[in-house]
Amino acid sequence: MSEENREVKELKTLLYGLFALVIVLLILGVVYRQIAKTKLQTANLHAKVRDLELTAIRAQMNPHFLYNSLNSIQNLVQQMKNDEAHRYLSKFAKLIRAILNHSSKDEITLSEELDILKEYIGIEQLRFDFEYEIETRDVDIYAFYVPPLLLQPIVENAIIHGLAGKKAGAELKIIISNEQNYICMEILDNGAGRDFLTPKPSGNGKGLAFSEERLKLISQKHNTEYQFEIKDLKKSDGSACGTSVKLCLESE
Amino acid sequence: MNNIRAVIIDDELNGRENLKGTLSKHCPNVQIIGQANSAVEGIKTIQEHSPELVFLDIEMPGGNGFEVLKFFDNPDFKVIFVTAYDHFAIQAIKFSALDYILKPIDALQLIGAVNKLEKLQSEWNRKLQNFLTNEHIGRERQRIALTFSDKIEFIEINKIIRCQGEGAYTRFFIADSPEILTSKPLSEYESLLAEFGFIRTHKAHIINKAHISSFVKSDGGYLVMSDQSIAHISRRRKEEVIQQLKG
Repeated sequence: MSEENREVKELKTLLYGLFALVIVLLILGVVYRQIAKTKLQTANLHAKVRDLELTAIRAQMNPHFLYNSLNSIQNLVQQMKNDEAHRYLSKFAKLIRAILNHSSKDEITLSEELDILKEYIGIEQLRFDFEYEIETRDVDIYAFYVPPLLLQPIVENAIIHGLAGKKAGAELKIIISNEQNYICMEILDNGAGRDFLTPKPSGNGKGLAFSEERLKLISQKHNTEYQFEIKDLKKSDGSACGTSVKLCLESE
Repeated sequence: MNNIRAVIIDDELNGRENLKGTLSKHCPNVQIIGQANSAVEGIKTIQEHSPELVFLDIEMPGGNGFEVLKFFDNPDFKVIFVTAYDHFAIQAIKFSALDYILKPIDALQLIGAVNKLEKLQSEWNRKLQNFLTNEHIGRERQRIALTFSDKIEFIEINKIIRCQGEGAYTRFFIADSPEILTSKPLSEYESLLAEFGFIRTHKAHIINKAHISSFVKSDGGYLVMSDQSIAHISRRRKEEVIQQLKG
């Protein structure tokens, strides 16, 4: 083999080597970018979940609800109903404590969520005349997790926009059920319905959209499915007789 | 109901008056024989009156409620803690299953705490001793009170291998000891044990990191614990669990 040939061959080997190196670097680059992208997406998702948590506190600490509740309690003092005022103040404190304690958590058990709802509903019963019932069908509420206060805006909607205007027999029902792979939470009211003729109070629907957004985020985080369904309940003659909002999350 | 001679230690006048008023209305057998507005005054008041019961506010300027209790080596009075909000203090109280009430006062909670004192006399001293010991020793030796069917046991936290939720109950798996089924849900213990290196791996499992023997990657991943029992890792928690195991 001549000197020249050998040089050409070495040069070729070097070129191949370089070529291979470039390919490997390119692949590494692509892989690295993909990982970075996934990480960024995860980080974004986490950030979004955090944001919604903060919004959760703000939304629940709805000034309207806060001041109206305090006003109701003040009215009890005014009427010298001391025992009742005492009782409602501790209920109010319990609710605020639960909201503050849970708002920093990603998820709480359904049992804890229902406890908060009971306090909340109890206070709203001071302002509005309605009955409520919580029915649990074959669900272990201690081992099913939801974002804190997921249901509260929906219940608030049902009370304020559904039941508040009803003169008698107003009822709120919460049904927790197990449907195949899903745990479903349904909030029913026998109130005015969504398409009643009087103009809707402002803010209606915001709470629902907010809950759906949180439901969507938690499903994305867990890589699971969810369902969110609003139904207008109708009598046989077609007139409105309430609203049902149903949220379903895949069970763990 | 027997009369109970009690003192109130709280730095705020409103706090003392409100408690006194609520007691006279809902627990008329509790007689307030003395009041104090600081830890130091509180110790004096206790020495002077030898009460059977002390309502002890936790957060007070110039010495908190725990210090009042620590002053007495072997207190012959019972204590109901009173607090507006103190996360760590409440954790410590719950660890020994001692009683506390929150401000503003919920009459039902107050009645419950007072009634409980009359029963379970003998348990009280064990709870208090556990509380005082926990305050003095390193966290790795601390014990948690587990209550079940009218009994109570104090279990060293680092001996707990894992806890399993069973509806409103929790089953504890403990090294070299029989299992204990307590009457509180898993979520209650999750927040108490989080700072002791326990993590939730599944909706029904929390485990002590220090008791993991191995992490098996097959079958979706699970943990083998020091007692050879298996703790599941749910699909949705896998990533988070692996992160926590690394840390």
